[in-house]
Amino acid sequence: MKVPHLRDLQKLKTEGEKLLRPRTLRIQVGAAPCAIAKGAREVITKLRDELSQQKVDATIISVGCIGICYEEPIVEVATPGKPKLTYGRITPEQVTSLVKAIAKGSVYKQHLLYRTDEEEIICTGKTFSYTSKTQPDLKKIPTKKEFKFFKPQLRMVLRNAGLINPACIEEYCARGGYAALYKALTKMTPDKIIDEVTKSGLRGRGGGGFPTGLKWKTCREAKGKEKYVLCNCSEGDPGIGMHKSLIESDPHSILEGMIIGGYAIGAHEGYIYLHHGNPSAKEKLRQAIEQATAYGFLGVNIFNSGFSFSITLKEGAGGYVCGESTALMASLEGRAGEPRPKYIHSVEKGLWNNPTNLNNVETWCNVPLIISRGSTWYSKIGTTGSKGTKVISLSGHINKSCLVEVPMGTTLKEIITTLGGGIPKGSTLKAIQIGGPPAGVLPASLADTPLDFDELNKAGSLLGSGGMIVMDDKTCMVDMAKYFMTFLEEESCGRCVPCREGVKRMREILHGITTGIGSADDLTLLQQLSECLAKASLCDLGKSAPAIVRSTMHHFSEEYQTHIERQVCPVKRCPM
Amino acid sequence: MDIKTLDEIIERHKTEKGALVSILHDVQKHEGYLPEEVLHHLSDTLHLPLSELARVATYFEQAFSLEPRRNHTIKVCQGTTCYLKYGDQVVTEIRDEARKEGEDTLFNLEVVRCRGCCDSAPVVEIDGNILDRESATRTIIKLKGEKK
Amino acid sequence: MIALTIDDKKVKVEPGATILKAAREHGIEIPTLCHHEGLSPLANCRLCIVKITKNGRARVVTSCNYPVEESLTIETKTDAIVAIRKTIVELLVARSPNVKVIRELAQEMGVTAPRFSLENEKCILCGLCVQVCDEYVGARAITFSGRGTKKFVSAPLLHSAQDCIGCGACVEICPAQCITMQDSEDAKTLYPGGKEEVGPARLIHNWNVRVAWKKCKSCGTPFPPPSPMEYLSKGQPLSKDFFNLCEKCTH
Repeated sequence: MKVPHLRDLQKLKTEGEKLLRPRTLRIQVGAAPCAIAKGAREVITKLRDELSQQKVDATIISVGCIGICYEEPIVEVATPGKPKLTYGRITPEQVTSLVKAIAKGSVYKQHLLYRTDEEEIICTGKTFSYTSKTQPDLKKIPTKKEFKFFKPQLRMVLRNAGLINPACIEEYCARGGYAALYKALTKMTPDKIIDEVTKSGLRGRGGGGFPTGLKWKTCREAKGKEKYVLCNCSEGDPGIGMHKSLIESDPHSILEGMIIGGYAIGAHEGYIYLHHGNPSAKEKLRQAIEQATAYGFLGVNIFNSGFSFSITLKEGAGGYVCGESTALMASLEGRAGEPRPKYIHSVEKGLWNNPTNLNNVETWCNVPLIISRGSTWYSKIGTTGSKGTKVISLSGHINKSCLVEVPMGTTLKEIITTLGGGIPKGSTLKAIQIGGPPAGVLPASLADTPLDFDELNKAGSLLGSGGMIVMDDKTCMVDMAKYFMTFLEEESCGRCVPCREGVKRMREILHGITTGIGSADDLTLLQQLSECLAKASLCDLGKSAPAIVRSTMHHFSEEYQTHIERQVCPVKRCPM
Repeated sequence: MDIKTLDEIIERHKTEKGALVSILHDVQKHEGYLPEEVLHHLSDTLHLPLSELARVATYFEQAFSLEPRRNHTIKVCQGTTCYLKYGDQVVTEIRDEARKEGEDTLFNLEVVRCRGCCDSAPVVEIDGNILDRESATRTIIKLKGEKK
Repeated sequence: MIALTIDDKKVKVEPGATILKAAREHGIEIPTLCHHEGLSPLANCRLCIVKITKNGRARVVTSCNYPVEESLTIETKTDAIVAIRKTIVELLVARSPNVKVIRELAQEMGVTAPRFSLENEKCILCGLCVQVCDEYVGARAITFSGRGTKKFVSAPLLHSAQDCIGCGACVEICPAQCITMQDSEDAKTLYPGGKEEVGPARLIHNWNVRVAWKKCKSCGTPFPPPSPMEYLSKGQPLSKDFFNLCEKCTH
């Protein structure tokens, strides 16, 4: 089964294409966590029954996150020679009618969202066609490109999400998978790869925004017999489930990125750190590693290049703090996931004191694309300082919760209105949180801020993980500050005094303010504690803990005043 | 815990560097908690001081439990979106329902963060199934009825 | 030698030294709580923070573990640094108002009444007891349990610290003096199940430990475990038979 040569990879690709465009009906059902929560499993069961009863010959494939969470459960029907049709909000009750329509070769109009005549394979720039001619009866149905949800998006990291069976390596290869690895190992040197990643302008997607090429270069140059590459899938942010969706939709893109990174840096071992409590994501990754190993994309002498690489999946056990690099590494080493005080970077002394390159899962997914299409192509997307795209998990007080990917430079307002469908009627936008607790909040007046590392920093926030939470005018910002401090108090490792004691006391003060026993001195005290934590904490959890308090005090000071001076919560959220 | 099973778990992770957390996950999954005699056995077999075992087992309090778990696990999401949609009230509701008629010996009640199902917020996960508020309450009532 | 500036004083320091060591060598005092010369720095208390400037970029770092660098400018007592230290002490006082070393720190720093509700913790969670046992003595008998605000030091799994050798290093190193031990020639211990042990032993109460006095390898007399602290302070490793020979036979 091994794939040592290009022709073997092409054979795998061809097999995958046959699966994606079979001679019989192929029905895809979105099965990401959000879809399962809305009954996707029951829909699949009912589909099986109905197809059998109505004697329709079809394969049912569970796919990952299509992104349109508000339309789940989503069912897509690909009839040979015809455009793929995507139906939304299909409940088990509607399956009978849907299958009847399929059997007749007609359209189930009530729930039809869009049609797909062809799909771009972004890894190669080519297109994958479902049909060569547009059916006259389908002309009125919007194409996927025209569909409101997809128009502003540029799905690069999510290039295969919802389009392939994530458990099928052939389908991954059909859409250009592992071709970048082939190119990297057989046609490029490690220095050339690092050069390409640097020129692409890719910056870390985990929150730091550190230039990835520079990180790789430093790690490559660091002295150490053994080096490691790590993938951070810890997703401890209280507001998003983005990593789950990525892993469950397209696990091979993570592996391919890591193997290329390992080759560039000179590491032969990679570790994926997965947040615990995700049995489904764990299984998908485990399966992908097994498949990649069976086909020789992992293991000894990959593509006859002389380069060997292995990836081990390790489940974490801690929460938010284990997203911090030294705490993550401690957990991988089998120790308590406490951050280490360090002034020597982990790229020089990390896992077991060896040079270690840690990147976020989204960063890794960008790598095969940069190698395939080149840094020149990649750097044309985005802004001057922030190249490429960003995956955004949009939720909160929004009409349409969804998982999207937009070019850097797209404004927060555009994401909220065009993709999120705006704020529900009767409410107005009050604040946006993007990037988790360290990012603080942005008031509605700054909604025109573009998605850009530097622009968001200037606005007093930061890009962070890309979890975007929208808050309406019925949200109490003091209550939200208390919520986040409660979260951080639970997540603090307890090692250093400022964070362990300071976060607790800040939470106590906010509790007092939200229960009518706050005083003006509390605000001074909150500022002093914020300064102490921001400067003296041992790790970034403590250092960024004050962000939410500082930003809400800055942008919503009158709310704090009202709680303190009048013992009233303007939106009646606080128990006063 | 059956020593043979425990040794099989240790054997499975033989080639993994820093395998302690992975081994503890497997024990937790198999037994529903980390029995003390398991920690002692691991200390002897892996040549780690008991203090190290205790440290790791008690630090990761979200993943590991030193006490046997009850039959059913209820996880109420307190992720930001679920909280915005009054998820804190859901915690109280669920806790009250679970403890009604003194039935709290049936359920482990935990607060967790984002399950990635924000469109259905506020969500409750019962024995691995994501449910909305009403379905969660109905499920708890059903499970209590089954016990009787 | 590395040239740098501490509080406007130009000094030359051995490479590999920390800022704290360099400062102390040149008579500049920086407060610490969780630091011991003979052990690797913990950097838990954060009291030893200083402001460093290099190539125009200023940062706040802990001096106990930051290595000296050429041309580094260090300021140990800026108003901002002192204010942060005061806040840290205020937090410590609120947690442990009746611990002597904390009260002394508070007095030194001018922290009077903390603006938080008072607790009454005897342990200040500095980590020195665990560290001396782990790193220097090597018994690794005690540990931190839990995390965050619920963190505490104990015998593993709250039982008796089975690996404890009774050296008492933890008792002596504890800045809060909250670990107690007792030596007795006829210590009586009653175990659950009715078993009783009588004889010369050392009891360390916090870890539920009873360590019978060993018989000296040389003269055969039972003796209480010797303290390793003197050697720790000198930075000297312990000899192989350190815990096997009574004081007389050691000299």
